[in-house]
Amino acid sequence: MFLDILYMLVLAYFFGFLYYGLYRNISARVHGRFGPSIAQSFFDSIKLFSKENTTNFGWMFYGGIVFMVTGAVMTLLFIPYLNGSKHLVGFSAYGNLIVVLYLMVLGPLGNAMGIGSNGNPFGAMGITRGLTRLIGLELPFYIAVIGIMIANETADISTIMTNQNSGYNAFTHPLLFIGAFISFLGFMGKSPFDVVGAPQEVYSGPATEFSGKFFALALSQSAIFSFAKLLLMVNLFLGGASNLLELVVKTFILFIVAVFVGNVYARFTTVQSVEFLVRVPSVIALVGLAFL
Amino acid sequence: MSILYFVTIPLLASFLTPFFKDYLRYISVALNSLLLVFALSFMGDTPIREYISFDSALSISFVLDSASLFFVVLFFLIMTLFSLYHLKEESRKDSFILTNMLLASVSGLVLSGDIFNIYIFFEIASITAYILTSLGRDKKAYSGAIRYMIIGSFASIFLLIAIVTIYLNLGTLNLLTISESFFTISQNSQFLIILSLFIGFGIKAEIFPLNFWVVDIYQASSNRVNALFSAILSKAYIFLFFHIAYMLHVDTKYLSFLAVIGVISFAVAELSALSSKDIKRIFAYSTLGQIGVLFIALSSNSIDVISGAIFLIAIHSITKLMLFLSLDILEQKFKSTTIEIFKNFNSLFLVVIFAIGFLSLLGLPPFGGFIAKLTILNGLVGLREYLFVGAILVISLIEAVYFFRLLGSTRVQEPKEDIEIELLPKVLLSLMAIAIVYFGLFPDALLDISKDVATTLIGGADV
Amino acid sequence: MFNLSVTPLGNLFFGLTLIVFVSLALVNFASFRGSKASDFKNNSSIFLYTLLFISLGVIFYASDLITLFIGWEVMSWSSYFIITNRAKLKTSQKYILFNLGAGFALLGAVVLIYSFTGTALYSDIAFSKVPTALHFPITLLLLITIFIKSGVMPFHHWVVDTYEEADNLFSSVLSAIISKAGIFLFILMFSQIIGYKFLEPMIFDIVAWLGVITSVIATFKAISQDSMKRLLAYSSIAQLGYIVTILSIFSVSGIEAGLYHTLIHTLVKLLLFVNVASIIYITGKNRFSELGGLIYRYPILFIMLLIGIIGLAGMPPLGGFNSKFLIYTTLLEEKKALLLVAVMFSSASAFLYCFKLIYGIYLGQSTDEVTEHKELPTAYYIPQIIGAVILVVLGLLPSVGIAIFNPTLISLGFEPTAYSSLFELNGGFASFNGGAIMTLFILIFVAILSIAFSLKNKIRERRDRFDISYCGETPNPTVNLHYGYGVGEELRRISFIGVILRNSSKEYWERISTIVKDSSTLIKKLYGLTVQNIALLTLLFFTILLFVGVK
Repeated sequence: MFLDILYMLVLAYFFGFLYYGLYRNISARVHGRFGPSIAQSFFDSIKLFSKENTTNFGWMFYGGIVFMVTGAVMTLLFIPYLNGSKHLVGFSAYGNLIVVLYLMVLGPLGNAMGIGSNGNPFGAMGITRGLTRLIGLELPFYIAVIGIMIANETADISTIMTNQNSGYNAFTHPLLFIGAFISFLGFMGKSPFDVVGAPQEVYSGPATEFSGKFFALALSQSAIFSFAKLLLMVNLFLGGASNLLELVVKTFILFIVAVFVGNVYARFTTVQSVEFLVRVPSVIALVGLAFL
Repeated sequence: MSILYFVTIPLLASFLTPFFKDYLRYISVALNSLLLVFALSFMGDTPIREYISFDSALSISFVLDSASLFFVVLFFLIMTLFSLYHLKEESRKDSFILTNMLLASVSGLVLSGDIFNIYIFFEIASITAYILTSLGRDKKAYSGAIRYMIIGSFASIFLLIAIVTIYLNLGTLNLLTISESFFTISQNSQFLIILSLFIGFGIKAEIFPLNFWVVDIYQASSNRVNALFSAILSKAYIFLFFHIAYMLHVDTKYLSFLAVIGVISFAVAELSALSSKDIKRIFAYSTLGQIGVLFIALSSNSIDVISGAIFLIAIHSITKLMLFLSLDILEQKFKSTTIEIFKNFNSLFLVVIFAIGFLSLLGLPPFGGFIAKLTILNGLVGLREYLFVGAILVISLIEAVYFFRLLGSTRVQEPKEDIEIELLPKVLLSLMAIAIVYFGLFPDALLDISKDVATTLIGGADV
Repeated sequence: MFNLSVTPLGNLFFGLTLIVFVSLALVNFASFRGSKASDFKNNSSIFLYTLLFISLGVIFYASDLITLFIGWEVMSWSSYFIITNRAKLKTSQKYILFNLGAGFALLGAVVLIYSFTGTALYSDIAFSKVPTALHFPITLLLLITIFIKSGVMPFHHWVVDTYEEADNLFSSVLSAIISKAGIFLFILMFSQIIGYKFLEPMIFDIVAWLGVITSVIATFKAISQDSMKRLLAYSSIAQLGYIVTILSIFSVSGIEAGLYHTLIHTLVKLLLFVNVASIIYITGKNRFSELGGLIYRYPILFIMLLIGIIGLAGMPPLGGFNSKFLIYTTLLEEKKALLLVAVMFSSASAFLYCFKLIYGIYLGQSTDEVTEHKELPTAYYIPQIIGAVILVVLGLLPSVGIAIFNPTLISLGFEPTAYSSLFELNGGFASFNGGAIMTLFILIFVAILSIAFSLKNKIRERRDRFDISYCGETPNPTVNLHYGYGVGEELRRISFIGVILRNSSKEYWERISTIVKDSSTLIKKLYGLTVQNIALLTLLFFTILLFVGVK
């Protein structure tokens, strides 16, 4: 069991940073640059562990980051990696999709506490934007998820995966998938919904005061969390994976599509994000709901 | 032991005033309480009829049945409390005479078995009321008294028209005989009689659209007089109104008409109270409103509903007595009765008294007013009169607005003056408040009595 | 006429009442003893509190309708007098008028039921005796009572002002317990006395939507408030909206979810309101824009509020998640997708005001370094600790709640819910293991924490509160660094939320009030007529009626 968990974490960490590295490279090529090496993110995070922090902001600030990582790890551990296998399923038997949805918010909320405690108004502004954007993001996503749950009459992710052996949900419920995917772009922090952490906007937003090893922790959690979200999307809509290779392929494809979309679009403001999300993808998903 | 004592003894006492100048207040208390006990002794022995005959053809009858006994007891109880309240003040000849005459005349009204006798007591009561209004001895009081007199005379005229018409048609003045042979009169005459009685009694019973005079009169009179008007006088006329109505076996259309008038009366009174700025007027409107409810209930011709009305009459009299006497304390301190004075006094005792009074008037548990309202509403639903139930509930909400505004203003953070209250008034007011709470928690005894009264009232002539 | 009996449903609600009242009595006693500015103004307050407590007991343990009504009205006017301690006249008027309206509607329903079934005793009422034509009016009257009491829109206007202006500690009584009277009535009347077979499902579909719409609107209004107590007031309205919605799903899981959320909400609001009361006591301020940065001065209060927030938002691993979970599984079972979407939408939006609450008070920068802070009596921690502990316990052992509710379910005629272990919560549609989640959370948290601290090296201490990254410059004291007011500002620019925030149904109520006042002034003129006019009118009346009658 423990080995399983460790394996899951290592995989998530590895692939999270790998994909991030790939993302930087691909974006660079799109922009006509060369970009850093693919392993750059690994070097960055490891280097940061050895740096010292700039200022001591008190225990809540660090508690917030620890909270954030805990949230990411917990989310990961409740999503099974493989379809119909005893390995790499983590604690998914003890939870279900609803639990996962709420755990996804646990980390960011803890992070919000931490950032709020450092007294930097830009951090707070970033958090507020993030939470406001969340209102918009979760609407289409939850509609899609609810649709899937009702269609499969279960909230258990493994069961939903197994039920897709006859056909991926992305194809049997295409409208739900489109709605969820647009939301997913925002969850991954890709344009056009990336106003929260945009450096040109709010002086790096939430991550304003991060430094040293806590910044490293934050980067690691972002890697793990991205992978967890990819995993969730794959399990819900692309039928999960029965072996590791299939998993890598599917998550990578999803990731790449997200990257390409993100690179094309300009950034929405918070208000525009919410308005768009509540109109277009939500309506698409609602229509998909009607066709359940 | 004659039932006439209720009429004769107070009258006699008032004649003896000059001889007992300084002891009048003690005599008041003694007399009233004795007569109260005397009245209570009749319980269970009813009905009693007495005749005063001068001649076999001319005789005047007096009837004491459970309904009239109830009212006699009520009146003497109120008066006993009233005279006890004034025990510590100096004896006044005019109030002694007038209160005794009032007692005598309302007892007579309630006990009379002859219609012309009723007219006599009607006049005596009216004159007493006019003079009571003028007791303030200022311009306001005198003008109020004169206005009252004019309106009252109007009522008397209509009453006379009715009596004359009855006599011309039936040749008798005895209520029993009239009630047995009323149907023999022509339809038009019947209508004329009923209409005249409606207006004649209605003006005094203070029902819409005949009660426009009431509020100004209440404002002109002093608070103590208002207490007597509200607790004793109006109740007597209401009883009279319905007693006669049921004796004459009026038809259901008229009763429905009365119920509708009752609702309108209630609504109009409570709405007007809403924007009133003077507490005396507010209490007057509240009395008019309750009279409206009484009319709805008393015209239902059902024992359940009418017993609720009788219960309400008892509770309401005690409540209004308590409220007017408390208002008097405030007026003596602040020399005004605008709603502003409620913001300026600091007395937990008075706030509690007012709270109990207002909450009972609104019909909130656990006070007596609630039991009354519940019985009435229950009975009305039993009669399928849903509209009246809804109307009463909605209009009560309007009533709540101004009563709670008054209560709320006692809690406002403004500089307040303390009020000292003597022991005797405190004890009596507490007694009344406790009674209201008691009848709210243990209503059964009073409810049984009310049922009895109700049965007698609609039974009409078969007692 | 006065009948009481002990029932599981009554025990449940009275148990909550006991917890709230006893813990608050301890706080009041402590602050009353210690300081001048206390919430117990004088002895009459003690009497009124006791009376209120007794009336709540009467409501919950009544075994006939009249007793229920007596308790209800006494609750209304005793709480009114407590509120007038501090509230403005206009607010207390609103309070009593709305609540008396609820009371009279209840009286109407009670009288109707009593009259047709011939009895007021719960056990004897056979609702089949009530003619079908009256089913809708009775249901409507009861719904009006419940809506007013639970603050379902558009009857909610009294809630916000009252919660804000009442004594700080009494606001917790209002939110924690008195709001639940409507919920109790819902379960008692609709599930027990009337029974589902006599109720029209379509009406309750509408009720469910009203509840959810209330939640959505109230959530957004909560986010935009600057006053702490107003935010909590709107939050209460939103949470009660959920309960009303889920109870309208006439099934065992619906009632179970409703009861669970009632339990959680009572404890959470107790905790939150007392916490806010503590802050107001200490600083004397009640607006977010005037507070901020209190976390390091009052860390325990911060942690208490944090636990409260996690409970309010309904996040695992604490107990708040259990009730949300049950609500979702119930709606999933009944396939009410749209309702579920709306509930989840409102729940997610609630994160914003949860964040605003904790950020505005404890995080960010303090706006006022000058005002002196008062010493907080220890008793203020008691209700908070009780709430926090129960939330943690329920998070660890979620089925403890199920065990508590089973007797009530049985008494209502339903099958008790089975559970395999106290650690696991089974919502029918899905289940989860609360023990596992909490244990995992603690283990991982500790693990990460140790990683973070194992690589410890020297950290530079902050110079002062202006030592932050601020676009390459240092802010000075005149700059407002506290974003407390700002959370929720952007919401106004989002079109549909902006519409919600700009409009209010208050004007319709005020229009009614104006109409009544105007008609009052008009009608009053009748009573100012001169004697001659009165005489004339009377004569006219007589003549007209004479002609009408004598044909």
